[in-house]
Amino acid sequence: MTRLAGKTALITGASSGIGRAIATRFLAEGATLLLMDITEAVVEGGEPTHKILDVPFFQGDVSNEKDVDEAVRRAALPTGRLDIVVNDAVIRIGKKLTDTSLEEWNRVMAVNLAGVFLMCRAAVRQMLTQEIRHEARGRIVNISSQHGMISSPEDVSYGTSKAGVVYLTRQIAADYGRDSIICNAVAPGKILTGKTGRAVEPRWLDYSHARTPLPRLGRSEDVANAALFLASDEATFITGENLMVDGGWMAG
Amino acid sequence: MRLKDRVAIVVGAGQSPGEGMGNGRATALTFAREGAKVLCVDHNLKSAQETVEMIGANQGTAMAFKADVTKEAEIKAMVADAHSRWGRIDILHNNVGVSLSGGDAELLEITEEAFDRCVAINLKSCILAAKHVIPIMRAQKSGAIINISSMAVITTYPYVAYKATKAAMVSFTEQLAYQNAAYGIRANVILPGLMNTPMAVDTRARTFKKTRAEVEAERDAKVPLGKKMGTGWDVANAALFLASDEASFITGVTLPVDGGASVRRG
Repeated sequence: MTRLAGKTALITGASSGIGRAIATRFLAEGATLLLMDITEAVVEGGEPTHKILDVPFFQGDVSNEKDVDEAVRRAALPTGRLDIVVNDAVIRIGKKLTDTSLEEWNRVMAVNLAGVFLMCRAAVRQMLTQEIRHEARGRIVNISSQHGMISSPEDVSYGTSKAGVVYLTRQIAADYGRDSIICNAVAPGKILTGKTGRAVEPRWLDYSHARTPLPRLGRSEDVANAALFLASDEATFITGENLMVDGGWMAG
Repeated sequence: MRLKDRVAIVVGAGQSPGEGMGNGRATALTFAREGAKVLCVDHNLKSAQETVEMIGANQGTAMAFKADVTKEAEIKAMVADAHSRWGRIDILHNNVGVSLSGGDAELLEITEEAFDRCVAINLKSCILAAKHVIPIMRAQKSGAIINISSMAVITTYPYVAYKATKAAMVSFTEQLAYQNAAYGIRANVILPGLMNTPMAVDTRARTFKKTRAEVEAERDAKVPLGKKMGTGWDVANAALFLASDEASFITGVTLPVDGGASVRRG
């Protein structure tokens, strides 16, 4: 299990759910980690992820420029490099257009889209100072969503922010490909992360089962496996892509 | 090992004359390295046999099988051979495809004969291979099918038959994924971009009477990521991921392996 041996990775939104699964998988594959999240509390419950994994944690807000720059600085300290950034931090309001206030809209955009912009900017600035290793100067994996390609049910700000993440991914890939910086996204379909509330209300679960062709819904580990593939040296000729992990939802 | 005890059919596991490693051979070697038993299918038995010998040299398990995949009877025999030999079929990897080497041309130059040949090799083979493998996979309640299409589908490409047949493979893969998901079968399609393979580079050098180095330089310059073509190993690694349990929630996906060429059009 050494597919990320010798690599340093910074993962945002790492305390819970998909980010937590990515942190767990990357650690098992030998990566040196810095976890970032606005809180160490685990949405699905239990001990803080960084304590379980025994890795450093930086409490910060991805929509805050200073926090993001500091996270990248800290992540690169141990090895002088930042090989991988995973942007997983996200919030959602769960409201239709006519129910969404400007303040709510702005907050979602600040975390889900500006947060990815700030982190990509800080990471690429760091990566440009690094030597190319195994055909890459650095790699970014953005967690997007099927929402933004298909409609996000009754959640206009979330879907719009995620569509922006997909575009940002393509633009970074195109602009920094010549510098051997690899930038891809992973688009989860319906993933059961252990989160409660709106995510597992019967009407949304029924809808998701009806729309997911494979016999099961997704797990956080499914997304972590895809992130691992794109973060590893196995994917040195893939960039700008948005890899669906959706049980066939988009093919239907 | 990520494909331990799996049975795989790699169609197009030999390769065109020329230097280096083709996509099909690299994939067969990668599957075998990860523990799969691999039926290496090619119309050129000698080339498939070379792939098998390379696998054998690394203590892998593989057999060569000669088939003209434009003929349904031979596809049926190929599937029956893998099934009777190893008892199941977990992975079908459709790698065959021709463009220039099949007589493909621009619209006003294409002959009916060349067009039919390209359709038969590129598209019919992939659909009929799925037709004969799917009943086995449905009975197993599992299976992974990987079709190799091309970046030509989503970017400019000069010759008509290749573009049209490779585009059809994408739609077919989505249908295959959707209609077979309930049986636990996954189907995905890879779009290789500009690759440094014998078929892509050496065929063009011969056709356009250029040196290999000239063709390499022209193609390298068109790739955004590091200004360098991909290799057969890039496609093989993507296929390994999609064939393995790590991709067990991924189906109906189109995955470009193109060094970013498709995100910067024109």
